[in-house]
Amino acid sequence: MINSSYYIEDPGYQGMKASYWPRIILWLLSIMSLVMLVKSFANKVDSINAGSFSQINYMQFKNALICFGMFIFFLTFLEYLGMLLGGILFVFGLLTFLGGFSIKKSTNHLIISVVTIGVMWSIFTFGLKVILPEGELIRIW
Amino acid sequence: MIDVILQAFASIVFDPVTLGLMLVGTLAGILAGAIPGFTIAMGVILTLPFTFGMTAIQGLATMLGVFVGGFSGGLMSCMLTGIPGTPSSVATTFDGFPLVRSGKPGLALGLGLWSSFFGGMISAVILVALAPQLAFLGLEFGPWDYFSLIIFALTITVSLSGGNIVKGLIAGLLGLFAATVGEDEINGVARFTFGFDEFKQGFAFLPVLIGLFAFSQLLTDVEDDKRAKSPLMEKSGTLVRVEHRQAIAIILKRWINLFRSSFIGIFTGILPAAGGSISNILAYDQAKKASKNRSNFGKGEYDGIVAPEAANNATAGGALIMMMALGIPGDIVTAVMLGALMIHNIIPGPTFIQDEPLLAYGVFIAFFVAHFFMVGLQAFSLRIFLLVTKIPMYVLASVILAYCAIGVFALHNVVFDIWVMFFFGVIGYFMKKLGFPLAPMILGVVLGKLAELNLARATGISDDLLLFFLRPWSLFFLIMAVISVIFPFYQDAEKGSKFSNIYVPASVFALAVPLFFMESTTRLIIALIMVGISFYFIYKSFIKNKLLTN
Repeated sequence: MINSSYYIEDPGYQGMKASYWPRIILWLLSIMSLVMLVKSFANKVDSINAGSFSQINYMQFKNALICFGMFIFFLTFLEYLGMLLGGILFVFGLLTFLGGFSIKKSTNHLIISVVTIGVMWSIFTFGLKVILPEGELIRIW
Repeated sequence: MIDVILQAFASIVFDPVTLGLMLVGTLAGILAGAIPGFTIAMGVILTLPFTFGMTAIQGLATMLGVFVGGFSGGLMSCMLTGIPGTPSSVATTFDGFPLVRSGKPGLALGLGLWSSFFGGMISAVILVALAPQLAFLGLEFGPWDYFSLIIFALTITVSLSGGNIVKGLIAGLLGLFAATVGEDEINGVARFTFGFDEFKQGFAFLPVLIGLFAFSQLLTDVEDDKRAKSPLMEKSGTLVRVEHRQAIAIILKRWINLFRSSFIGIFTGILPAAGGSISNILAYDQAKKASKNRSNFGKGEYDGIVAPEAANNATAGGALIMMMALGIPGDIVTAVMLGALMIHNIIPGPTFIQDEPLLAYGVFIAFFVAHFFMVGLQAFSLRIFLLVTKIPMYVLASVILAYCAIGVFALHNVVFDIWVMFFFGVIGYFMKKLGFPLAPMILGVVLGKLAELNLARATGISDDLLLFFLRPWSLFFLIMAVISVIFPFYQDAEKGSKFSNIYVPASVFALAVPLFFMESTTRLIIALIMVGISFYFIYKSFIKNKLLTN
């Protein structure tokens, strides 16, 4: 980023250059990061208790990773599915992944996703007059 | 002035739409404050997308409803279940829960509710009186002073957000950096766009804020599989009848505690980043120290409920003072309100009250009115609260994540904003995991552009950087910034050590110096008093040390 700040265009106007402020921030960030690095070396860590990357419990991030994955899926297919259909699929998928799968649960999850997204979509579309992405799928339909 | 107040009053009270929106906002705030895992800030952030289609005053009034409601919502869960709904009601639990367990739930709720109401009313009066005066003072500020004020706002946020100060500074700098992406405000030159056209507009402030705060919080809430699947509260309490009359009588008898706690709340609110989470504990501590029944604290003492509840609602008024007068947000909630104003092309600053008197006084009136709604809605919201607490967190989180996406899209009608929210949500989540406070980063994003603009103006007028240290107000804020950076070390220092003895008098003395250079007799007198205080502190510690060595 510091390197990139040297390629910021200078239109030649008088006064502060566009690269001046970001460069101050980036240098300060570098100094602070260095201070943190030095401090981390200075802090004595019990070598037995110190964890390595292989010892990190990745399962604690399971739900967060599911949310990330579902959100990326939702955003990637938003153009095709639209906000209404994509939103329903996103909420239903997330509820199923996080809450578990069974016929009863899935029925509840489906009702929740259809009702909540339907209500939100209606409020924004009809109440607030926001044109939400329709989606190619619905358009073709 | 009176006619402006009356007009503002009419625009709120005689407009059924605004009143209705405030009513819904207050109810939503009470619920957001009552549910553990949700915060008032999150409630206000989630309200924001609905305000896009409203007028500026309607939007602000709705958010104020959420803000005020949220502070009182926290008391419901902490009293009925012993679990504080928000960090700003932690101290209420100490005596509120024992009082409920001793068989007086109606009185406990009444005390909390009416203390919140009176605390809010006191802070509303101070808000109306102080904000225009502070704004008047703000008119003296030049770009040097404004830049230094922003630096102070950032450093105090870092020092008060707790934890590692270096991590806090890194978070603040990251926020400032995020605000530099896109075309700069002064020359219109593209920065850090890496060839992407979408980056040219920069990151819109609200998707960043929703991502950093709401998105990352929701991910944290569903992290634990077992907790995510169980209802929000295992024990959600029972419906109780609030004892209004008895509670009011008890509070009015404790008017000194009420006023002291309210002023603690207001002062804490004025400080950037120091919100209700700090004020309620400070007020509780002071109430305990001043009480004759100290041994009763923790066992259901009335003063132990009055103090934190009055303080946390008063904090809201304090935070609004800074936002209205200087355009500097006192906390995350006022940062969001600042963003809401910007959506309507209104930039708060020292001239805001003069330029937009109807809107400014409308905010004051809405703040008053929201407190009446808060009292009126308590019984009804208690019923909804008992219902909501049966919902598992994963259901709430999934629905709100989708809502965040819709709300963020509604801002500019571009999908890129949702990606921005997601990106900052991921950053926020991992920053939290690694122990970086998010408040400095959020403030950095909010104030970044303003800081750069003022720095550019200052260097444009004169390239003499010494002016930052030679102008009294600028020097004053820079000294405050240094004091706030050292503050965590003072907190950690051993009591009675040389450093802890010298910190307070040295700080007071240093702050007095710029006041001497301001051309005002009042400020000169204040400076002399401050010097006197600092010498008194030094003398006191000298005597104490002498006694100890003898």
